[in-house]
Amino acid sequence: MSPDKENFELLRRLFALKRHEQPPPGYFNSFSQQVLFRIRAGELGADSAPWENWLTSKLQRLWLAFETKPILAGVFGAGVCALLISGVIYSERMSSAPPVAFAPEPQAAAVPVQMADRSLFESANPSTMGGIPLQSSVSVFDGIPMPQSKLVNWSVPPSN
Amino acid sequence: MPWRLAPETLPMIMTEPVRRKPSKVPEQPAAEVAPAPVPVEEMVLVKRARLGDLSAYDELVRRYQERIYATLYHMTSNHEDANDLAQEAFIKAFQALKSFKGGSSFYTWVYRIAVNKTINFLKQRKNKSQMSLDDLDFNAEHDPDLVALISEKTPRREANLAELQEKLNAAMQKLSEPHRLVVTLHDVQGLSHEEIAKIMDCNIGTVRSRLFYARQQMQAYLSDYLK
Repeated sequence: MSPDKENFELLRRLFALKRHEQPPPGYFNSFSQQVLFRIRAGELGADSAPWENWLTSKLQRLWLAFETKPILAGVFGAGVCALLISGVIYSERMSSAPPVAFAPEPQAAAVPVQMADRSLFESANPSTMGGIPLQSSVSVFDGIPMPQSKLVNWSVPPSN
Repeated sequence: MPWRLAPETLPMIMTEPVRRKPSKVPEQPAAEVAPAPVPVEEMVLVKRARLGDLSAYDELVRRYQERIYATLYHMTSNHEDANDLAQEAFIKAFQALKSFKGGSSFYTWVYRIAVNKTINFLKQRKNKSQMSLDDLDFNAEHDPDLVALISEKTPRREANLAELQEKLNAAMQKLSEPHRLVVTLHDVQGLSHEEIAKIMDCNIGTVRSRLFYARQQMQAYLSDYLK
């Protein structure tokens, strides 16, 4: 036997490996259905936009990748979960953070107004501050004069 | 520019003359198998499918899906690409059924469409090194050819089947598309030279010379595993 034939014999043995490469189990069960589905989809949606065909093709390819490689589906699921958790954490941080205060407009700040009067002014004209609450200890009720308390000498008349 | 050829008139790339002649063309070991007559039932299914009967076409797809897929998979070494190409080949065949005149079997005709589509795809594919290999079935470890190959006292003894599989696919991807196709159809799928010549629309001599050259190339690429 010549060296060439000998080597081709070894090569022939090696090619046997290719015959053992098999697609995922059950792959051919749905293959023809996918072909028919695409034929029907092509007949129905012949006028569909090219981007729709492109998107459908990509989604089918992604789904096929998930079917054939479970680890890919796991990684994708983990990524979605990580995004969800990070979104929840971010939203909680945002809700617990103190509200951002905006400085009053320069024109308003330039006017010397006493705080009590200013509060009253603001409460009477909320639109002048754009509806943004001021971050201060001054309350809108501070300007309202509190009733003065007086000591009352009250005695119960003696009963008979 | 992608090729858009009518399946019945296939001036395929494989018809181009062989650029590098092998030094020696080996003898044909066995007599060529006579082409099998076209099954009557197949023609009935084709006629029904041509009239829009999708159940008939479903039957035709089921008959040949495994062989078509396998060929495209061995050509691309990529499961997803092979899946896409096989589906598109069957869809295109359905759309072109009216042009199928029955001069060859439906199988050969679909094969031509699939092979043309795959060669066009491979020419346009940017990343040629990307592989997505199918798993080996459990029988691979018990295949006598493979057991003998990896158990001999050679450097390849250290290599496991997965490594061999990867090296083999990488070597095949180095071949030109026509040479890879000949090796796939003959050495992997066991088609006769005559059947391959029909599919590739060339003469048997071209098939033989390409096969010999492709084997020489593969032998060089896999020299570490074939000592």
